[in-house]
Amino acid sequence: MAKLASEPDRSLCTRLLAGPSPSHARELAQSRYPLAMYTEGLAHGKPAYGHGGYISIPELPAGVAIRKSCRPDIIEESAYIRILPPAGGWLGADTLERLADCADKYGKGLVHFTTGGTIEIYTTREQMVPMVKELNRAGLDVGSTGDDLRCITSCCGPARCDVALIDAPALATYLGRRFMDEQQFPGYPQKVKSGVAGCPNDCIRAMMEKDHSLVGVYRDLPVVNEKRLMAWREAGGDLDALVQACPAQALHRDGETLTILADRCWRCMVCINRCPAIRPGKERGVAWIAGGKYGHRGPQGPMVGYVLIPFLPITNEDYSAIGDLFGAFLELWADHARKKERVGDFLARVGPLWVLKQLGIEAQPQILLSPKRNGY
Amino acid sequence: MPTINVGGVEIEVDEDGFIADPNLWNEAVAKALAETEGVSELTEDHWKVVNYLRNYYLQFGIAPMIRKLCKETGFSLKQIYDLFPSGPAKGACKVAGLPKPTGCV
Repeated sequence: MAKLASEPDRSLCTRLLAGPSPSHARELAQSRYPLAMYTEGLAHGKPAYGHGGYISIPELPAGVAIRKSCRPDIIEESAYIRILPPAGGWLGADTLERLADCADKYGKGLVHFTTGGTIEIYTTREQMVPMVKELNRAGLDVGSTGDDLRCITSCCGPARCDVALIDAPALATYLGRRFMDEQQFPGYPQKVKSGVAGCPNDCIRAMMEKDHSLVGVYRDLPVVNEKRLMAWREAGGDLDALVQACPAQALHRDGETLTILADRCWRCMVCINRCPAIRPGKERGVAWIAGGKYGHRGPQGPMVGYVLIPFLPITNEDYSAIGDLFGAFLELWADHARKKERVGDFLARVGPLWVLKQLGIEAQPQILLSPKRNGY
Repeated sequence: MPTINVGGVEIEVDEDGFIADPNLWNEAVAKALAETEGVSELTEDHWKVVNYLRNYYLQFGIAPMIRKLCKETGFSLKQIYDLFPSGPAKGACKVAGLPKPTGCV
């Protein structure tokens, strides 16, 4: 066993603590996080934290959890609160300062931006309620733990991206506000994660990672700008390589002109990503996908989601129809799922067509032709 | 084992405050258990939830699913948390004299 010292043994972190580049170990060491727990894990080749669980704190139905400690002599447990993030991960300097103040005053002086899109602050059980009250005053709230609707993540969207087909953060914010109670009061058979991706590039991996996701799509064909294509060619663009890259063989080259074969095109983003002269089509909406998960538990293991509706139009930034569908599906799943059955396992058991039938939706030919390969 | 005092009678509870013997439950015990949960007064709404849980438990021997509780009593989950700050499992089931529900509810 590694020796226990009041001053953490930092020898295992020496290289991580030194040097000019960003270092998580340096950040940890600057906070009140017990670095000894980290070095303890390094010494034994496995984390010093055990499996955690949800804890009951009156007034806080969700948003609080713990990880058990394998070394209670260093730290009894790691309790943390999970904050619902603004969509797209957009955080202003003021909000970051409020978060920092909360972490400093009530927590261990450490803020964790998780891969799942939430913000976590490590603290103790006693400090949780006062911290949440302070966060509420800063316009933030907690949630997204336990068997509830997890926070609705989205990509950065048109606020920064040039190929965003829909305003993904706006849709995620709409859904997040409409389904706030579902995120804060765990009443589902199992957790359900959601994501909104702005285009079929799906940078947030919604189709694979989220139980219930919406991906921005276009229905018409990509648009080729001849003039820009010429400029791209003159700058060294390789037209043959571009034609080769199309996974559906939908690009046709005739001399210097490029045409897109309508009956072959999948409406993916490959040519658009590769060549600035090709832009997405103008008729835009979202594809509705359910059942993705990375989790290994359950009969199916990790799986890619099923496309349930290939195209749902968005008009005048009115998301209410999408919200209705989102809510109706969650109710259907929650009413019929077995205990601890995630959306993917549920869909594999009952079949996607049963779900569409229950919701009164007509099945589209695309979803039967290749339900998982082609969401576009 | 810890106990709570109900009108001079000691009733055994487990380490989380759930009643050890559900057969000893009565309205006075419910009031005493509610006080341990920070509920000072049991209103008609509280009793609606408690009686539903109690009857379901007597019939089936387990606590109902949270969604079933909400649908049958007509309260939203949020309202149940308003009535019992510790939630349906740790709060309402305790007051209704059910043994501690399993799982992380």
